[in-house]
Amino acid sequence: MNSQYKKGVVELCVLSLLEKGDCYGYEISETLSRHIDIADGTVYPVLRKLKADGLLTTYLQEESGGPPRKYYQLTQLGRETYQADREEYLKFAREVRTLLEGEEK
Amino acid sequence: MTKREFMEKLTRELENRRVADAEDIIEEYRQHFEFKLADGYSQEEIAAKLGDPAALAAQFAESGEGKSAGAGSRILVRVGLGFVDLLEGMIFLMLLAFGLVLTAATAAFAVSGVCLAVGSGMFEPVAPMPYGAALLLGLALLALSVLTATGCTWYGVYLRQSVRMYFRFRSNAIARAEGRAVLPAASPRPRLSGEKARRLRKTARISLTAFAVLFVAALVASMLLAGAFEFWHAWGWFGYAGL
Repeated sequence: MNSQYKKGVVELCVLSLLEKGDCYGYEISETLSRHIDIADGTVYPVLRKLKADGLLTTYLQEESGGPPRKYYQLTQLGRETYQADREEYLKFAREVRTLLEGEEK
Repeated sequence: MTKREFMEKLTRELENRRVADAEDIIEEYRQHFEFKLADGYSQEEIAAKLGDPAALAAQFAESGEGKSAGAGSRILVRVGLGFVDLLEGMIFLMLLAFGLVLTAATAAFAVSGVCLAVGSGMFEPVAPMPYGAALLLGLALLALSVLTATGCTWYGVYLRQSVRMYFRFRSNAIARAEGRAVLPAASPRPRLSGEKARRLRKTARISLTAFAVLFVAALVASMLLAGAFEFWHAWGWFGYAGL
């Protein structure tokens, strides 16, 4: 599968995960790589970009027997962006699907 | 590639590309290794699944580059906003003043209505009238004050939303100039629950009807009590007694 457009939806997937609750980086990487075939390492640059864009904030949380984990949390902007992008993506996916399936017949 | 090789290469690549907060990034990958090692993966497996450190560093460099405008245009935006602030401030002040007038009128209607209805005789020197007519007129004024109060509420809600819109626009203009992410524009429609909006509309409808009915009733009652169409002459209002 073309990795170029897969990378595009990773941002949306990250936002979707965080919309359900705060996560730390490894958690996000693991969950995503279970669903999408991407290199584990690519999630971290995405997280950083989303943070730079103001969609995420981070906070540290102490863990028993280990260094504090950096948790990612959606900002209000992140929430609003996610809702808008999600609608847009789903609409786009529906249209592409209709087009592709129409071609097969 | 071992963990050490991966980390060293990543550190080097991040430094070459002058990525900010490199330690932060390194720490994230170090923890990734820790988690994976604890799950029983080998260092080579983990490094292979993470991807090429050079490619990752390139992605970090890409995301770090803000499309920020130069300092000059940032100052220009601030100055421009200053002028817009001045203009908007005056407009909002005017709109606020009108709101205050509307509120004052509401209060005046309510006070006059109560005075007339309880027969306080407050208007006796200006406009003497029998108590029956005064009661009806007082109730009409009370209904009118309820109507203008709902008007005030609507007005206030829309005014607040306009101010909110303006501030959203303002912070977005600054954020855009500084290359930061912007919030979606605020909607011109106020965040009023359907229930509350329905209640307001119902109140307005009822009070308008009550006012119309009571006011006409007060006029008719006045004419009947005075025995003349122009009851205000009969009662000598406004100092025109007997004219």
